[in-house]
Amino acid sequence: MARPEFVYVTYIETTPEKLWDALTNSEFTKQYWFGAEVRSDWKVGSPFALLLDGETTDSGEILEADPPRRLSYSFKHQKFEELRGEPISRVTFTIEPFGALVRLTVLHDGFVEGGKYLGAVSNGWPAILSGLKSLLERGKVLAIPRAALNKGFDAK
Amino acid sequence: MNLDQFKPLTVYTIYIASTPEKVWEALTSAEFSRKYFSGFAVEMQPKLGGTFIVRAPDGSEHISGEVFEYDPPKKLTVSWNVNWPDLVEKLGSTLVTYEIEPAGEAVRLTMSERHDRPPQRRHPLRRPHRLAGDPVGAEEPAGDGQGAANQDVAAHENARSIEGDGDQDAVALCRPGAREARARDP
Repeated sequence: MARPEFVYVTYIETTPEKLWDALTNSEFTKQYWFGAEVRSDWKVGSPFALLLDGETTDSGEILEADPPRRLSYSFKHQKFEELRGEPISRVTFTIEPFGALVRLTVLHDGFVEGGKYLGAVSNGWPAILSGLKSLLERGKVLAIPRAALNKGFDAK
Repeated sequence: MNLDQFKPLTVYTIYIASTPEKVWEALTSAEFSRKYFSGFAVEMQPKLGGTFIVRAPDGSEHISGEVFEYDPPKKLTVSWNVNWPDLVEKLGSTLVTYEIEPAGEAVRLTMSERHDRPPQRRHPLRRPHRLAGDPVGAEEPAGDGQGAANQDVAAHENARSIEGDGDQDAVALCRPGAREARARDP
């Protein structure tokens, strides 16, 4: 069987440096990540945390950091009881110039077969990354309801 | 054709600052599609059972199909058969479904591509031996085995390797959004 994983590719009219900044600057992430802040010094081995309304929803550590090309951190859910039992997953961002655009690939893997977490992130990422693309290209985010983040998870 | 026999291979969701009507038009009108689809024109008879053609700039029928579900501006399912030599004969028919839903001030567009081939075991990526659209990792979704939530299948947007180098343009012509949907190639 294929390992359960989520892969998303999007082309954004921006520069690798701006995209890196958008992924690692919490003032930026708050705008498109439905209010979530990223916290890390982005050095390999350093802690990573994602906070929503001041509460840590996910945490991990930096596995790879090669600005502005590649960023990877482990990702362990903390908030929802039902998701807490799942193993530590991993998020990897790959940023590549593509003509006048930048190609961003998000790989989220390390899920367990039959788990709920994959469904949750599979709904979350398209909403987050669409907001990121809109913000970088238009200077403003899309007004997507926060419910989009939990769509798959709630549906279970 | 029994639509239920078609299993999703690729699911891609994007939120767009637009209206359902405009997204529908962008997906189904020749004038609009030429602008983002490398000059290719979507020619659709707007009714159930109508023809669905994607015409190349040279006038040839690049993709031939038929309308199987027609519910503007919410849902459209068409067969999506690319007229490359032997492609349909080897890979079977392909269905493409667009689902368009309002999401706040945006529109959530989900494209899913389905095939009537049985699930296959993962085989190693070896670019020179692969055909566009050939499934890699097209197994049943993890989870409850019945496709779980539709979006879970996004996990299936697994490595889709396409023919050798220089393939990107060819692949992009396969379907709108193909570039986005073309996933990681480790």
